[in-house]
Amino acid sequence: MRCRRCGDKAEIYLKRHNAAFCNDCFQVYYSEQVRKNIRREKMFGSKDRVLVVVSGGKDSMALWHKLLKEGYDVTAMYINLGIGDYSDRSQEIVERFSEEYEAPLIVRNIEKDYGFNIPRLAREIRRSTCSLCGTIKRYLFNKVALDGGFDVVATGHNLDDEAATLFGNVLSWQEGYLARQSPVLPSTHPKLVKKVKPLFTLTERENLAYVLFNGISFIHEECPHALGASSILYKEVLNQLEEASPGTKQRFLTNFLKKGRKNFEACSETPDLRECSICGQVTTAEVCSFCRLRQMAEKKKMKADLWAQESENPEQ
Amino acid sequence: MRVIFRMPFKREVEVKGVKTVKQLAEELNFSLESHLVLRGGKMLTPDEALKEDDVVEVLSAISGG
Repeated sequence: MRCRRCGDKAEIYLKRHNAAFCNDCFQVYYSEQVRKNIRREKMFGSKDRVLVVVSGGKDSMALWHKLLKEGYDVTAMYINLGIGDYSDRSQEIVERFSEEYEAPLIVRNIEKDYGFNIPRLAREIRRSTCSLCGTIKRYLFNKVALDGGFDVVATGHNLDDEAATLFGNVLSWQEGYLARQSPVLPSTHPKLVKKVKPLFTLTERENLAYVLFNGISFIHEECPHALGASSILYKEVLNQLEEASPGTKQRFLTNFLKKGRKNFEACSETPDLRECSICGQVTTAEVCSFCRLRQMAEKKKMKADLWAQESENPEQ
Repeated sequence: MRVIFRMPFKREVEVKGVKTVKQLAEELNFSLESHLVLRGGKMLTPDEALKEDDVVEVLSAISGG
């Protein structure tokens, strides 16, 4: 196959665009997509301070690299979630990138900074690890952005992520979630920072190609807790449809955003937002879900310490 | 030809009689929508010819969460 732009030997074929590209022309295509998304969706401008949240995976590393190359004022944030070797290896990758590109990086460690271990707490309070991770990440993205004076939080969500989320929400007709799904989540409270997804029209495969073409290190393996996740099944189903009818994923998502979402707006409740009585972050309850988790972790720890003391001194 | 799958787990298979990347994907039942095929670190398009003594890597792009 020959490159559609320059006629050289192609290295990647994008079936949905019926186009093959060489390395250089793929980079042009990728840059155009990211620039168009940022501009058209009014995500941020050259003067805005952007906090890009990175996991060490291909999508967030591609986003970090691209935004730096485009000259935006970018700082990355990595959260070590304490998921064994997986977290330590991904932190190493992120730190190495930060050094190599002299790119500012903020690291938070859930266990060291906040005193709880996610897999253990998930077992103790019988909640799924992924749901705890989600609560913690959402809280910290906003807190770090707010405390650091950032204008916007950018995440590496891609076309496959967004199409799979939409597919899941349609399967169970989650009207509220459907009303809110968007590449831009505006700030709805002075203490809530705007969130954006500049890669929402690029597939996972295109992000993988981007990191490979640019020699960017990333963590290959999957989070051990994500194996068997329903989002992976949805992505596989959507890819089967895509093979039979190229462009299905993008049509599904972009036509929903253009034509479908507005029909769910009436279902979107405007929650009564207030500030957490402990930490001051925005919540719908008296105490935010992050502080409730911390309280639960502390209670469990106190009980365990007491039990350990009693077993050491059974006579007392 | 030796085919090495890298993600999510490493595994290797031997395949015979496959002539192109597209045929390899059909033979080993993986989707070219969600995978990249590399030889010598270079990505290959579906029409690329493969030889019996080639070593190719197949990388999955799907991630969960």
